[in-house]
Amino acid sequence: MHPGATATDEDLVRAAREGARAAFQALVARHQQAVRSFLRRAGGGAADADDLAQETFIAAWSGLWRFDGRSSVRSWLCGIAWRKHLSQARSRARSRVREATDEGLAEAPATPDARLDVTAALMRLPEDQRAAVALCLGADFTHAEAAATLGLPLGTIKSHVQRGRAKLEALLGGGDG
Amino acid sequence: MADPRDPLAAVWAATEAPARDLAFELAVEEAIARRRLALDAVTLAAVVAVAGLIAWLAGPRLAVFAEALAAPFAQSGSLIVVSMVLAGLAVWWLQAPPEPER
Repeated sequence: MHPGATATDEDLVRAAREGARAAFQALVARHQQAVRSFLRRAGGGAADADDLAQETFIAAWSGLWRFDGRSSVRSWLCGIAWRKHLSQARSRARSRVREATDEGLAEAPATPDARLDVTAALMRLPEDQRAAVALCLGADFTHAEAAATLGLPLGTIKSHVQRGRAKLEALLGGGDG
Repeated sequence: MADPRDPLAAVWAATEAPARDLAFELAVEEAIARRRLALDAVTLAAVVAVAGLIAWLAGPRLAVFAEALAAPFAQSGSLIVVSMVLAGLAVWWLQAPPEPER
């Protein structure tokens, strides 16, 4: 049995702030699946997502004092993961633009009628929409929780989830035929 | 979470991370240990640097202060040393365990 199996997340955060290593390890064990799954769905491959998840937990450890208990620990961690993902995506976009400019190449547009596998279908959604769908439909976050995690208005999250779901179903349905 | 009736269940199943992953947990633990070590080293270096700077800046003033403090004892210095040695010997003798009776 893991050391923090019966403690609440808030208890573990408190203990980790006081320097208890086992408490932070228990938080990692408890939330690694949610954070890694979210990052895999937000974009990039499993290896990239895992690297980012590792950075997320290191950032959480450094910033334990910032957790104010207003959101759940899961939501707080996914928020850190989302900001790290955005920052990585921005820096990759910059380097892609630089490479394209250097080599005179443009990114090939996605073929609209290409047969899509499930992951590729998810990647076809716009970034914010994908994250909202990943949290609300893939990880059972409430709309309010997802709004707090992604730093977006509640109405935007609701519309992202609704449109994202419809788009995904259409993409996957189209892929079968 | 993955409801088989959900048309998107395949998406979630394909992207779900494992519930437990000791390799990942150990990697995080190791990275944090490295970070902690680096932070400790930086903190120690900063403390040593500040202490060194203080000693360097305050050294001459402290030397003057120490000399002023020691001046009254300068005359009786050897007497104090002899008294302390005798006191130390007395303490050692009083604290020594008694010899066992034969």
